Amino acid sequence: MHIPDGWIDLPTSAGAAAVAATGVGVAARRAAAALREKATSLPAVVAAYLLVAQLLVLPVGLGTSAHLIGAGLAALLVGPAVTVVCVAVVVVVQALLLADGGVTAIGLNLVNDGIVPALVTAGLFALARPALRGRRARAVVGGLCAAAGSLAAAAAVTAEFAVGGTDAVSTATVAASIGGAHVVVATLEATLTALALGTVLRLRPDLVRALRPRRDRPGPRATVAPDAGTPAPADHGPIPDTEPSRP
Amino acid sequence: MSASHAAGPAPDRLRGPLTALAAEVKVVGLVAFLVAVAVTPPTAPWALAAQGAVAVAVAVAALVDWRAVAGRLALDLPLAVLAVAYALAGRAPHVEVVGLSLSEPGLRVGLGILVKATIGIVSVSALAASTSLPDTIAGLARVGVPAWFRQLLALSARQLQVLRADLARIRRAVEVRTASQRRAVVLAAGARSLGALFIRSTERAESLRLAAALRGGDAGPAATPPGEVTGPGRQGAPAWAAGLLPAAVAVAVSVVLR
Repeated sequence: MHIPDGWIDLPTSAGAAAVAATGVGVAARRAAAALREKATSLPAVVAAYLLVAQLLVLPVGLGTSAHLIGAGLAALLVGPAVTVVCVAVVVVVQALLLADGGVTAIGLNLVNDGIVPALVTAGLFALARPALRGRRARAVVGGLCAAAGSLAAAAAVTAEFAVGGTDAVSTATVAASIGGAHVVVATLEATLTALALGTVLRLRPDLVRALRPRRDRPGPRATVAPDAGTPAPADHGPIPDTEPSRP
Repeated sequence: MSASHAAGPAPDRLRGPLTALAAEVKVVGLVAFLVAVAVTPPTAPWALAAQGAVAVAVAVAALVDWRAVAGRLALDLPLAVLAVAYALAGRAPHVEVVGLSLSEPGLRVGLGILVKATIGIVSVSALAASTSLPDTIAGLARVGVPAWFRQLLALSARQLQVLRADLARIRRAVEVRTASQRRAVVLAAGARSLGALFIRSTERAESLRLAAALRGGDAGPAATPPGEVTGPGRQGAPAWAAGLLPAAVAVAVSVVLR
């Protein structure tokens, strides 16, 4: 669920928007190589993937539902920089075209759904990576890192509420409900991420950026086989109005 | 999959009075209006009601399909639960509502959030009903949104359609193969299909890039740069005045009816 308008006060939302804008700026610079790809670039695929993955909604009870945040999985697959850029697109689309999440809360949602889980998941996995042997261990630990990422997101939401939430409900009540819901979400996130990551590791391990050797990735890039031999076009291309008719 | 997540232009968009207004005017007007609604305190119910009326009036002018709006109202459900939770768990003073002791501030804040979200759904529907996505993206170019962001938006919208179709196919295959199995098996297969979906879509990106490389480095058919050729030029004061009118009214009522 995205934060709606009016849940967090304006100064806190503005602060989060500043953090989010800085984060997206840094991420866009780091992901520059991938963003310059023309045609169906990887970031567009990932952004669409995040939107579709969030459709996999599971009922939690009390009328609320949990969905995969997906940022943890994306951070493992394509790296945190591309993930943050994609979540920025997703959050803006959801707020302005689908009315899911508040307009003044775009910054908050970007921090909670993108920056925090992506950095926590990728950071923890990078720490654990040297100790991991075998596909199964990597998939399971990847899932656990994604769960930690969604718990960190819950902590961020609680911190935002403590700073700028309404005083109508006590922070302890909100923290308990958010924490409780996110234990469920984190369990789900761990399971789904581990299974999805395990599938990619089994079929196309070269696509998982978090497991690529460091010297192979000076900057985040689209996962195109190196022998494709295409130099990245230097300019920002125009948006094709008529999309290719066949996928 | 809910209809509210549909991307791309609706096939049967009617031409209404708002269709002719430039997209960037409508987008800026929408954001300004929603911010004005968001800053209205929940202690001013009449201001929120007036802003709701403005949103409905604009939606009527935009020839909104109200069945689509009703579909989008599903997004209100979690917020309705939140409003109930706030009313039950909020602090004193409490008020009696049909035999239940509810927190007055909790009720007010919860209902405020719910009403603001509903106003958001109606106003966003007005934009969607009167503006195609290519027009919207072209309009964003004229208000200084960076090229990489617009491009990502356009490609994501296209990819969203492709991936949804892909996911539907994968799911059907999973359903067929796991038809008589236990629930856990079905769920695990569904989760693995997310991995398969990622592989399929990145492989499609790869093959598209390869095809582009074979054609000589440039991708796709010759395209018009959005915002430079296709759309109208800079908008005059009357257009901006019309686009910002709902926001101005929203600010005015939030000051007057406080």
